[in-house]
Amino acid sequence: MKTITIDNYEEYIIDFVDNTLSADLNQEMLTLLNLHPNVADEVLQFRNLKVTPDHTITFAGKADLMRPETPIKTPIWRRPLFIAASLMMISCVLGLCLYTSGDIHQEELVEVDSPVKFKPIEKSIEVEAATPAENNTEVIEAKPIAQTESTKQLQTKENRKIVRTSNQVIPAQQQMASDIQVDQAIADISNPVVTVPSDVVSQSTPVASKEVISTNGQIALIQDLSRLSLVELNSAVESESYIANLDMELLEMDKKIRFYASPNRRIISTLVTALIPSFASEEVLFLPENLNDIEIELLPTYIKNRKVKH
Amino acid sequence: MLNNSEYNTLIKLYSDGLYRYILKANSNPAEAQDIVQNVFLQLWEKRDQIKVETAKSLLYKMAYQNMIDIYRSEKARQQREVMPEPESVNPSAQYGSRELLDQAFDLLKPEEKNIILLRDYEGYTYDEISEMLNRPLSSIKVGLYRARKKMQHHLLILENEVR
Repeated sequence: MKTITIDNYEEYIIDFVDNTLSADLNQEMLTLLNLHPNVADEVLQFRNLKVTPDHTITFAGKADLMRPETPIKTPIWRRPLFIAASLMMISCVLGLCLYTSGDIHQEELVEVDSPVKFKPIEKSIEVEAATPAENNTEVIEAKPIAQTESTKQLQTKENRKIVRTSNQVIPAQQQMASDIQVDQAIADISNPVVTVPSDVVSQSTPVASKEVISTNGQIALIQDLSRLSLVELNSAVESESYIANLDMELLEMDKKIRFYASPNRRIISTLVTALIPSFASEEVLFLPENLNDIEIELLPTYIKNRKVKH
Repeated sequence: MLNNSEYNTLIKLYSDGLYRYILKANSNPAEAQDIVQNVFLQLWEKRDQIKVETAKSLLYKMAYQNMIDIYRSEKARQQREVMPEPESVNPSAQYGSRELLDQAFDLLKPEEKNIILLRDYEGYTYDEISEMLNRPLSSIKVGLYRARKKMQHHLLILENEVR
């Protein structure tokens, strides 16, 4: 424990004046002051020596130092105007989406009296496999759009001029007249030929019927519909009840035409042939199994968001 | 971190006391005003690092440092110049014990004044003064005792002159 002496009393004298010394130290200090009267006089003299502030003196430059107090800002997402604007924007976007989707699904093709009628093939086309060109008959070699098992099979058979189907390959040399007749009989039942009445023809360029195309082992006459107007073509397609599902949609940006899930490939072939005269028909004719989606280049803008009835 | 509102509150709370403290220490109103402004500007510049609770002690610390800087520069300037005869205090022109006490206080050194002001004017504890001035507690107590003793000595002289 420290002892208060004449050498260190300065350290304790302030606490003694403030009366904050412990009892022991306070007693020691009293003893020291008795021993040194001059120190006691000093303590007595400055006990009341205290500087006190004059509170009338104030700082005049407060206003210059003040900073502008910005009001407490409500976060922008909690402001009524922002909420209202957000709701409006959301409703607008939703409405636009609903309108757009409804526009696509609800668009109906206008029913028109079709000037174009489908009817069964009335006469068969004679095809001679050995000399197709001489009889104005074309046997088209398959050029598949997509690589499938059947197309691979086709490609492995060399030097064969074939009539290609999606699931069988018939060498052209082996296709006899009897086979063709059988195919033709089937085609008579299932494959339509588009004919155009004279009044329609007068409005548009007459349709030339010249191509004979084999597919699925069948032979069908596909008329050149390239000169038909789109309305006429649609009407022709619509008039056939077994065309259950055919969508045509033009993607304007890349100018492609898309066909969806047609149960009748021949009709698709016809349409594509008609719409795209310059397009190689064999590519169109080779349709893979389970066709749901084929994209074909389309040069002019023929169709825009057309939907044929289901 | 201080925001504008807290900073303005500090000005309202402490600018008067700070001004009185500086004015008492240097007896120069214009200089005291400049120091107060300078101190608050320094506080604003450091507002990102300052907490409200410690702002007051920091203000007095910066004010004291400002006074010391001015005192030293002034002292150096006076030493370069031809020193005029110091104005002798004319106790007869003063009235009352308070005025004499102020005169005795003015004769102290800045460090001595500062300890007395921090203790008497602002009521800081010895521990707080020790922390503000970065000096040991015993040094603060001894310094305060000696400053008062010196002040008492000046006061006795002044009172004798008045008589």
